[in-house]
This record gives sequence, structure tokens and C-alpha cells, in this order.
Amino acid sequence: MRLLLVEDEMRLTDILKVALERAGFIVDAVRLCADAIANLKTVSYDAMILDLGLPDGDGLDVLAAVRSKHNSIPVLVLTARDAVEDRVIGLNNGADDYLIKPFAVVELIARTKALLRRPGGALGIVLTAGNLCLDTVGRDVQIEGKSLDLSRREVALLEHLMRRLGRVVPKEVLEERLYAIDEPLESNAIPVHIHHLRRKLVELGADAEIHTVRGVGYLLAETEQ
Amino acid sequence: MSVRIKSLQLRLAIQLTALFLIATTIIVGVFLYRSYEEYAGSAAIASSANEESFFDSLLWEFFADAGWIIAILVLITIALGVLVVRNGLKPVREVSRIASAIGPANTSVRLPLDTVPSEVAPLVEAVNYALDRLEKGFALQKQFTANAAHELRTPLAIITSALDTTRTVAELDKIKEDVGRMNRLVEQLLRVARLDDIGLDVSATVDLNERAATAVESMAPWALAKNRRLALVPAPNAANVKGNASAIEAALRNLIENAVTYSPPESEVVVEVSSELKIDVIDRGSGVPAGHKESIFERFARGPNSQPGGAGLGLAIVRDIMKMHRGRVEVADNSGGGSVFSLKFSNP
Repeated sequence: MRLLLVEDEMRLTDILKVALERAGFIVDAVRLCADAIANLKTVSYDAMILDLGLPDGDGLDVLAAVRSKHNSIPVLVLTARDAVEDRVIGLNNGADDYLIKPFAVVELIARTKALLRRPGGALGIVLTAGNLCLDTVGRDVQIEGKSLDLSRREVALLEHLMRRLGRVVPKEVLEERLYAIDEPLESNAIPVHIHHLRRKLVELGADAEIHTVRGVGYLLAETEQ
Repeated sequence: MSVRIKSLQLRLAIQLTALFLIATTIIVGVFLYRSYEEYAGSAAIASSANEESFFDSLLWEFFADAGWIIAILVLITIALGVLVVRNGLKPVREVSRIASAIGPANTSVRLPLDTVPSEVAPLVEAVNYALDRLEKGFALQKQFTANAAHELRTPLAIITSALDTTRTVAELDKIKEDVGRMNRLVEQLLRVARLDDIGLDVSATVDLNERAATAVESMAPWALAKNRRLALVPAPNAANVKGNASAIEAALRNLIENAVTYSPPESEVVVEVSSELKIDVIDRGSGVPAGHKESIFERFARGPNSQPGGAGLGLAIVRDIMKMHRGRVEVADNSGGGSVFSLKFSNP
């Protein structure tokens, strides 16, 4: 998977490039808006990591230029600016996620992978979490090569949790995604599915676990080794 | 000591009435004197006693016939005076209304000069100049905080990332911790600076249930990694306040962070929103000793049970944010052990 890293601080670029390459990405790094736009024209990247304060302009301009060409490349914005306002501006301009400097490198890699795991993203076809694999096309879930016997809804549930691995998925979102408007929805439908799914994952030795955040939703996390 | 009347309106009305009374007295005096002259000229009564009683009866007659008219006239004059002056001061009230909208989040407003009375114009002009200078000051401060943020965060980002990508050595872990502490301190100082500088725009409608859900959602993975659980108990009905959504969320996140840090492993930290416009963060930690329930909210305060590594700014930030919302933050003992930190908002 090929990433475009747009960052003007050379020290940071060097460090991030090494870390991302170690995580299995191919990284092109540029430090100017103009170079970023030129690269995006010629190379088809899987995602872009974009710093906002660049020597020849604002990273948001690059973002605007990209989105105006209907390019839906996932974009992760980095910023050292003041939190609140910039966050909102970035997301309104079509950024998919943001990180405020300083950040942990593992967080950057995790967020980048999460963007690629979105439907249409480069990692969006076979999702993985620990030893768990979900083929979003074949609707098949495997642990170390062995298929799991899951219902259609359980697979859908797991897919949503895997797409947002390590982050909370609100219960309402799951209800909305899993049930059509005219389908009857019992208030405990999602908890019941989660309960079954959780049991099956434990039984078959998955090293990813579903946690409940009472009152909010659910979260799939890889079990620490 | 004389009583000073503060209201310009009342002062002018009273002065007008006094003038009217003096004028009336002079007119009545002239009228009486002329009546007397006329009478003295036509009749030949010489007795001074008679003269006096005649004068008394004339005065009495006058008051009986026309005195009540004077009372009514006085009342009408006061009423007219109040109305006229009130009308004249309308532009001043309008200017006051505009001025009351000026705040840290809205420094570009200037007071209109063309409608105010010329006596007040110099004052309004002076206020406008003062506002110019204040706006410049605010802008400079804002710019400084933004630059400071960028300048401080960039090297920290480099150090953090460099340490993250270096193959682990035992010594490095300690440095990582130190840098982590530095990161937190810089973040908190920047937040304090921002709150001090520019104040907050607290005019939006904020749904406390929604803010609490967002805060719990974003912090749950971090809490899980520390082997603590987060839970949310939303208010059954809408709980809306006038305020600043991201500041309220920041305050709540500070409380959640403390609660998770101070509670035992495997325990649950509960965030409970109630319709009385209150958010409780309930933990099972060691609690706050009785003598420290106020002082822990001071800047750089360190309680006896404080974890090493904190700067003592988190709760001060929460207190500042709540002050700006005309609310408050309090801590009480949790009946089953631990503490309950409450964000209490006043009615919108």
C-alpha cells in the first residue's frame, strides 16, 4: 500500500517514513503543497497523511484541490495548531480523520490502517483483527484458516466492529446498519447478537475481544499477547 | 451630605419641575400684587387690619379656586419631563444594548456615533478607541498562543515519534514517560493560556447527553488499555445548556482521565448525566480527603494522594471552564468508596 506523506518538518518526515515503512507501507514524502498536488496527479495513492502548516500554503488547500476533483482518497490530517476550530474546519473540508501533534506513532499507524479498512479502502476487502479474518465479499469469517459458523447478522456486526477496530461503535449505529426501517427491532437484539458472537470468538480462540462500553456501545480490541 | 440622584432622566425631570414651580410662583405673585393695586385704587379702606384680612381672603380664594390646578400642572410637568428626557436618551439606551453584546468572542463590534446626543458622543468615541486597542491586544494574544502551540508541539512531536520508533531499551522507557509528562503539561498550559486569553463563546446550545457520550466513546479504548471500564448513564430527558461544546467535553475528559487514573484496576468509572443539568463522574478510587475538597481545584495544587507526574492543572482547567459557564465543579464522597466529581450547570 502506497501512502503520500505531506510534512515540512524534515526530522519528523524521516522518523515517520521509517515507522510507516516498518509497518509495511510504501511512503512518498513531500514537503510542499505544490509537490503534493503534482504527486497526486501522477500516482494513485491508497491514503494521504497531510500536515496543515506547509511552507507554500495551507494543507487544507491541498485537501480542497483533491476533493474538488472528486478524488475520495482517505486523508488523515496532522496539526500542531489549536485544537478545536481547526478540527472542525478540517473535517468539513473532507478530511477523514485528524491527529494533533504530538501523537504516538502507533496511533498514527492504527488510524491510517482504520482509514484503509473503510469500505472502498485498500484494506476494505479482507479485514483482520489479531488472528481473525473477515472476507467482506465472501461474507466468511476465519480464525487461522478455520471458518466460523456465524449468522448473517453476526457477520455484519463483526464487520462493523472490525472496520473500527479499537474504537467504540455506538449501539444506535449498529442498530441502524443491521436492521431495515421496516424490520421489527427488539431493544435487546444487538446485546443478544453480541453475546453469541462473543461466546463463539472465545470458544474458537480468537485473539480479539468484544468489550461493552455500557450506555454507549461496543468495541473490538486485539487481545494483548 | 446631599443625596446624589444617579438617573439623568429623574434629575432633568426634577429640575424642569422646579423651574416650572418658580415660574408659577412669580406669575401668581405678580397677579396678586396687581389685583391688590387695583383694589386699593378703587376703594378707600384705610384700616391696616382690614387690609391684612383682605389680603388673606384673596390668597385663600385663589388657592381654593386655582390651587388644585397647580398640583395637576406639577404632575403633568413631571410626566412630560420624564417622557421628553426618556425619548432624548433613547439612542443612549440603544448604544448600551449594542455594547452589552461585546465580549471576548465578539470584539469587532463598534458603537454607532451618529445617533447619540452630542454630549454623550465623546464618551462613545473614547469607548470605541478603547475597544480598538482591546481588539488588537486580543488578536496579538491569540496569535501568540497559536504560535506558542505550534512551536512547542512540533519539537515534542519529533521527540515523541523518534522515541516511539527507536528499538526499546529499558532506559528509553523512562525517557518516554518523561516526554509523555511534558506533552501533557504543554497541552494543559496551552489550554490554560487559551482560557485566560480569549475567554469562551458560551452561546451555543449544548446537549449534555451527547457530549458525555462522545467523551466516553473517545476515552473508552484508553481506559480499556489501562484495564478500567467506562460506562454512561444518560439523562432520560433532554439535558441542554447554553455553552461551549468542546470546552464542556474537555472538562468532562479531564474528570474521566482523573477518575480512571485514580481508580483500581478492573473497576468501572460511571459518567451519569441528570436532567437537573449535572454530569457526575463516579469512581471507586481512594477519594479526596476532607481538607482538600476545595484546594484540589487550585492551579498547581497537589493533593496528598496525587499521582506523581501530574502538574495539578487538570482540575483548575475544569473549574475555569465551569466558571465561564456560570456553573461549578464539586467533589463529594462516593457512598461505596471513591469520589463523585460533578459538573453543575445553571439553568440556560
